Amino acid sequence: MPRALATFAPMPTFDAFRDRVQAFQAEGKTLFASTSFQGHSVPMLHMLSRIDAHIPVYYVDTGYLFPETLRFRDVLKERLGLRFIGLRPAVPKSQQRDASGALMYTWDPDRCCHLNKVQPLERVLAEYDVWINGVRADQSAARRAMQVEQPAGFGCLRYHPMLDWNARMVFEYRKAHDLPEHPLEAEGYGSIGCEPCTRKLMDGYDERTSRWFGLNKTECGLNTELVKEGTTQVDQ
Amino acid sequence: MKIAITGGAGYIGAELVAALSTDERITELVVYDDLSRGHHGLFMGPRMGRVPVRFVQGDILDSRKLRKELAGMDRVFHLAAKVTTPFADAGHHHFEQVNHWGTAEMVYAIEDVAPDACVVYLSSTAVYGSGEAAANSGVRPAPRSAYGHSKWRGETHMERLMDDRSVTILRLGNVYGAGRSVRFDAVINRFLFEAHHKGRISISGSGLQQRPFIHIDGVIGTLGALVHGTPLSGIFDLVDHDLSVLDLVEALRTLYPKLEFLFVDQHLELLSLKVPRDARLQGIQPERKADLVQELEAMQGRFAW
Ligand code: SF4
Repeated sequence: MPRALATFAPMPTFDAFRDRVQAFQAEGKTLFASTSFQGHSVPMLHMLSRIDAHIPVYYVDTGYLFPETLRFRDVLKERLGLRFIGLRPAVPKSQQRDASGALMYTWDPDRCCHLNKVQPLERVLAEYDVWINGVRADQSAARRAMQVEQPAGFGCLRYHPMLDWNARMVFEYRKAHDLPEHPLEAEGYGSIGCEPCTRKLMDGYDERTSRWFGLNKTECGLNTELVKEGTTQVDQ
Repeated sequence: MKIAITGGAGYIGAELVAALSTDERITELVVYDDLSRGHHGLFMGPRMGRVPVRFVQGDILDSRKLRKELAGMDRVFHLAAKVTTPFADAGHHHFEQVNHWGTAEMVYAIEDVAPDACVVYLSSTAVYGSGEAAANSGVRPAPRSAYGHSKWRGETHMERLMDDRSVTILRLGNVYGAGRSVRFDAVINRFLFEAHHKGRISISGSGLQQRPFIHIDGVIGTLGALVHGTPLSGIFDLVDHDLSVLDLVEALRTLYPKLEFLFVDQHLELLSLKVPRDARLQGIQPERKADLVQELEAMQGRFAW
């Protein structure tokens, strides 16, 4: 059964989030957060800035991000005072071509995501005890099967403070706290990731078509490969 | 002063390297080029000036090499591109790869290893697409080709750097004129070549289509003025004059009265674009000293026979 979605209740989430972070810290655990600078991730970043702005926030800079996303990063840095750390892939794009010279996203997007997103984050997982990750259960089947806390591999624990949130709550929270939106949202983009794999929302199509339109792929690997095997079950 | 020039072995790059090699305020010129177009004119005489020139054969998508070579540069000229005559639409992915993602890699590398570098990026008037009214950098680009789109996206990456340094983005018209690595696929050069060596030129479309042009000397003069002058940040048009293909044919017929011209598909009204000289480049972009016929005559004089 899909997890029941909570109604709008930002303060309980904040209190629970803060208490859990403080409990981890009291146990001497090291924490980091991650973000992709999408509009819907802003509430978690805002809460984190109020809990402890020193917790590093990593983002995977695949080299294919919209320049608008990197500008939005700068806006959020200024506004929230968080410490954002970019992770770049180790393999240069010049070595991500096939025999015809085409870049990997045109012929093997899964491998492209693995090289440019998953691998850069793996070494971070090995460094920390807890990964604060803003996934929501309503975003995909893989995410709906997640627990609030579960192993990520590499000795790190995933902690999902926003798991029970939904799009409406994100909207309300952003409005209540006057938080900025990603500049491309106004241009008709929904979910915003790497530019080659993102397209504007189209009338008559659901938001799923924003990313990897045409493929069965719905995840970049961060939320499928970096989840310890045997701990997730997709709802049937 | 240390200067890196990507695409330094290309049509514009080779002329820029030659011009800067005589400026002894410069301590090193790094030419970063993958030689993918097969241009080797840079490496042959006439001899360069006394400024040390170092050649690095490299791909702008090779982030590791790029970081190594751009470290500590004071000026970076990003000229490397997959080029075409504007309005061409072949090889979409390749334009995207080099002009868009290659420029993104340049921006990352400059951010990381050349914090003090002023940057000059050569874009194209192809970002405007086409239209009856004259375009300029104040209007929102509306590229009609994959090439134009890729150059525009490259600009948006470069614009990010403007927050903390000078970045000059120059939208060039079609370039023409002789050079060490001259491109004979550039329209004026191709017509002159065909007129001189074949006595007949082939024209696509009706011939009424207009394009903005600039002589290579005007490009090199402008880039040279950006080396030592007050940093100039923003987006500018680097063009000299608009011409239709038939205007060009008229000029060629002054030099070659018996010239024939063959219309390949004259029923086609091809897209036109007009872009005026950018008044904001006053004092930086040199005044044009010769008219078109004189410019063609000068290039004609460079042919071996
Ligand atoms: S989202 Fe697309 S471009 Fe980005 S890493 Fe994955 S396949 Fe590559």
